[in-house]
Parts: sequence; C-alpha cells; structure tokens
Amino acid sequence: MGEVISTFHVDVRLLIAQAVNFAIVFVVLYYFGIRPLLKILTERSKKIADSLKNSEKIEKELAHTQKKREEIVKQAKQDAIAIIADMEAQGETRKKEILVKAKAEIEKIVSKTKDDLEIEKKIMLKHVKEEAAEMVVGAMEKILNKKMNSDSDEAFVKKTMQEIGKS
Amino acid sequence: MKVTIKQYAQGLYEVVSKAEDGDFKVVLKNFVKILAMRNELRKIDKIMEEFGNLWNKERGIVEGELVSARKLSAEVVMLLHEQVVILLKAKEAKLEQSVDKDILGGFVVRLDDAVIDGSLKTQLVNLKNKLAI
Repeated sequence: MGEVISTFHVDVRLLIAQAVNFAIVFVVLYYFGIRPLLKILTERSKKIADSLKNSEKIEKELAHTQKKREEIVKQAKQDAIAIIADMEAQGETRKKEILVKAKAEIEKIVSKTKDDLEIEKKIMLKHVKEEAAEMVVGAMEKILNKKMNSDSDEAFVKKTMQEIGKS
Repeated sequence: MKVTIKQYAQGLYEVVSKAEDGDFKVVLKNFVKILAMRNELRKIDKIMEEFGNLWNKERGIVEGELVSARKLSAEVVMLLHEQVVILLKAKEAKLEQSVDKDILGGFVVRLDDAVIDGSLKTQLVNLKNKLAI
C-alpha cells in the first residue's frame, strides 16, 4: 500500500484536504444549489402533474359540456318542432275559425241583401200599383165626368140605394 | 133654483106634446113669459134647438143633408128619403138638398151622427185603394 502511494506520488494530507474541500463544496452546493433546484423541480413536476390532472378534468368537463350542449340543442330542436307543430295546429284552427266566421258573415250579408231587395221590390211594386191605380181612376173620373148625365146619375143613385139596402 | 137648457126643453116638450093643436101658440107664449120673468130670454135659441132635437128623437124624425152631383128628380129624392127611414129605423126623414159637382155622381146623406155615402167619387177612391194594395 505504501508502495502504491509512493509510486503514484499520492499525498495523503493533500487528499484529505481535497476531500474536506470537496465535502465543503458538496455541502454548499447541496444547500444552495441542488436542494433548491430539487425543490423547484419537484414543484414543477407537481405543477405539471396537477396541470395534467386539470387538463383531464377540463377535458372531461368539456366532454360533459359538449354532451350537455348536444342534449340541449336536441331538446331545443324537439321543442322547436313541437312549437312549430302547435303553431301550425293553432294556425289551422284559427284558419278554420276565420273561414267559418267569414262564411257566416257572407251568409248574413247575402241574407240582408236579399231582404233589402225584397223590401225594395215590394216598395217599388206598391208605387207602381199606386201610380197605375191613380192613372186608371183618373181616366175613369174624366170619362165619367163627360159621359155622366142626369139620367145615368139617377140610375146610379137607384142602384147604389139598392146595394146599400141589401148590405 | 137654476134650470138648465135641457130641463127647459124637456118641460116645453112635455107641455107641447100634451096640448091640443090650437093651444101651441098659447103654450109658447106662456113659455116665453116665464123665460122673461126669470130673465133667461137669451137662452131661447139653445132651448129651441134642444127642443127640436128632443121632438125629432121622440117622434123618430131624422134631419140631415142630401148632397148630389146634379139636381135629382122628386121620385129619386122620395126614394132616398124612404131608404134613409128604413136604414135608420126612423119614422120620417127630413133632408135638405144641395148640389156638389165634386162627388161626380150618386149621393151623400149627412146626418148628425151618421153619413150614408153612395157617391161615385167615394166608389172611385175605394177602387183606387183596392187597386193599390
């Protein structure tokens, strides 16, 4: 051993001193370099792990949200279809109601027009009859005025008396 | 006591109807005297009118007007009087004749409460009304 040390010119004291130096440097490095670095690395790893975890959670939530959105859209479509169907049904009913009402109104107007026409016809007929009667009687009056004399008047008086006596 | 026109007329009628033919003048003279005494001579016209109505009513006499378009013969006038007597169930008819060309022909008898219309004008009006219906 002694030979080896002398062959390689190893100085034990220098070796010890270097060992002490190394230990000191190691301690200093450990406390002020490696340890904080390890701490930072650990925190970073944790953060990454957390981020990954969050990312999964977000993905899951995203997927859930997507599903929910699809469900809402689907429901909305169904609701929209139902509303449109309802509206169409209501529109149809309203259309039928309007048609019935319009029909009734038209029938009423037609009936009223018929009645009015009938009344006008009656009035016109009455006027025509009145005018015809006026003309006939007027003509008769003129003829009788010319043709009537004492004899025919007395004959008329006698006839009228007989008729009054009978009635 | 106040005596109404109707009561005067009724009294006069009763006295006159019981009196003999020659007593009429005496009865009327006395009646006028009574009115003068009671200071009611101004009522005499109304009393005589009422008396006339009463007289006619009690004796079945009807008075009125006979209207024709032309003057009628005596025969036709007599027939009309007879007809009025029959129609009104009276005993006598006194009709004053008048002429109205507007009735065209026939006759109209106007009494106090009735009209017998046998005029040509009315018959034409009735005909016109019938035609106009």
